[in-house]
Amino acid sequence: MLEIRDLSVRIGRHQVVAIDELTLASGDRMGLVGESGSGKTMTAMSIAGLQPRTATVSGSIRLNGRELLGLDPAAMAEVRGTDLGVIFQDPLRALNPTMRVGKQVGEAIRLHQRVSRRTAREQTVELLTRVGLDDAGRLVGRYPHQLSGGQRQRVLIATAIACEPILLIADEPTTALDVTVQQGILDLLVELSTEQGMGLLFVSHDLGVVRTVTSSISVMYGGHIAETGPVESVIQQPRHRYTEALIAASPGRGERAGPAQHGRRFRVIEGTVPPLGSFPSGCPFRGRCGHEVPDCAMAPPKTGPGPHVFRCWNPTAPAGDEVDARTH
Amino acid sequence: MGRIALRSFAVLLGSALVGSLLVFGLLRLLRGDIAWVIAGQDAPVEAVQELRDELGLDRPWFVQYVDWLGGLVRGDLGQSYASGYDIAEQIRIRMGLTLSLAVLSLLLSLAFAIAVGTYAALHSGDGRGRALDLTAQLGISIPTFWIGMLLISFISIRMGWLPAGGYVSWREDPVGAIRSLILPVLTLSVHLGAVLTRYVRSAMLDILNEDYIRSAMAKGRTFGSAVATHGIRNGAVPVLTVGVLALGSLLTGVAVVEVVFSLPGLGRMLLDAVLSREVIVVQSLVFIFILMILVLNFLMDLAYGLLDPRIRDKRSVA
Repeated sequence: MLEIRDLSVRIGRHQVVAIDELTLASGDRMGLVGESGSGKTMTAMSIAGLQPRTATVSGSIRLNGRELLGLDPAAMAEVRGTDLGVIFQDPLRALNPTMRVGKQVGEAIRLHQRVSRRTAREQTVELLTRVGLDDAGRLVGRYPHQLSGGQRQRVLIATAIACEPILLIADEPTTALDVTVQQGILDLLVELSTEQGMGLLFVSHDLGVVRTVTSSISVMYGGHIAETGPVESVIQQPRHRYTEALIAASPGRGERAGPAQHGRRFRVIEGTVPPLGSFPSGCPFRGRCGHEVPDCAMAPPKTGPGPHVFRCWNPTAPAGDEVDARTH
Repeated sequence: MGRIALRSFAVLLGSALVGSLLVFGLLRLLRGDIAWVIAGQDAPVEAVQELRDELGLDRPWFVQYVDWLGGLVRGDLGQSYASGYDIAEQIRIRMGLTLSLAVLSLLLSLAFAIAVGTYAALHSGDGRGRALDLTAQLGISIPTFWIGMLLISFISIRMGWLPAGGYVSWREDPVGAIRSLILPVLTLSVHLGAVLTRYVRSAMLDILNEDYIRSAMAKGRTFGSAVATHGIRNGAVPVLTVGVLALGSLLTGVAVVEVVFSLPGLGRMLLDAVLSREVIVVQSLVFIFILMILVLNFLMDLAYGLLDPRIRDKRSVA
């Protein structure tokens, strides 16, 4: 349903995203994981045509066979809100502080359907009830600052699913929320995706969260996809050295991820993510990786059987195989 | 909202009271006998005494103050010594013109500033935005009286399109009233419009990067339509603040323009009163100007609450 080929996003002279291939089947849920600066949010926003105005996007992004790149702004706007819904990291900032909540949800309905104000209002109340908000009839008259963080994110979700999109892009939807309400939002996203057969692209830095929500996972680093595959396969048997390090560095729920990490303290990844445009050539993880070989100076090839693929010159040994996989 | 309006109104009344005390007190702190100042230094002693009796200047100051305040409320401020007109009546007649000038130029400047400032913000990166910025800077720097004189010499004298001065009242001839107001309002709006444009531009620049603009786009709006539907009301709050601060200089500008275009407004009246040393007239007029600013301030205060529900909530809790 979503097919990305040779996607490149540049800001000024710097290339911030370079993805040769990324696909998401209809109704599937994929996690896009990485540290800050890995290009995951930029990738997600580019799909929706919401990248910063200074960015230039090239390549191919197809949604249900329709090429999105190169659409004029009005046509792209029509895709958003009909086929494509988006929710954001900070629900307070994502809502207009001077407009009643009901009107902001209703706007998404009235932009794409010729319905009266009253019908839109009734649909809004239904939508808000649908996303688990009690007393929706009263909430529509409230302003965003009068709602709780969890309620606000539910309002945004209601807005995004108003026209039953085939793909929902969720950019760190629980990061700004209290831990106590995070799980409720995650459950809601899974439920909506299952019920409506809606694809979900879930952007997060938190492997543990991604694992509970999605069926597949793509790990990004330096604008590239380091490793992609079914979620259990990638987390149980990471092949790319970056994925391995990321799992080792994950606290809490992530710690359960790798069997080798049981009972151990999580490790930090050496160094920091380089600033924009200063990733090394070849493998971008070069310099922070502890397993470098001379080949790492060249771009690593796509390797691996089946759906689980990675790009690493010196990957971890596959399960049950003690041999160093240097000569792949 | 009702409680907030009531509180703002109480502030208005309190400020007006302090203002009246200040105006009254300051004029009495001036050296010399007010009766002498009004009558002139070479006036005969009997005439001065007569004036003193008539104005009740021998009474204690607070009696005079309360008397004046009562007069303001009743609309009876006595007569001009030099010209013999009824002060309160003159103020009533001239008030309409001065308020029309102030309010019309405020509205025109705001409309201009919102349109041009938003455009400049959307094109802040390219030549169009820079050109507009430079033009606004120029508009701020040109003195108001000079613009007035330029407009008179070009549009009124050379082209003969509009009257160079004078005023026909709305009731007599609405078209004539509009024609006589066009140039003065334009003159006043150049400076104010340019100042506000720059503030609208910077307010909009902040708003263009707000998350809720991106959310509106996510619902299916283009960038321009998202800014138009969600940006302007949010941008109005900081611009309103500047508008409040600009009110003082706007009324000064009104006085200048009334002189340049020989319009019979309150500014012109104040200038004449000062020149003929009519202390009592000056005192009442200065207070009327203070009152106008306070009332406009009060209205803008209400507008804040209407524009931003967060301000409304914060105030009713406080």
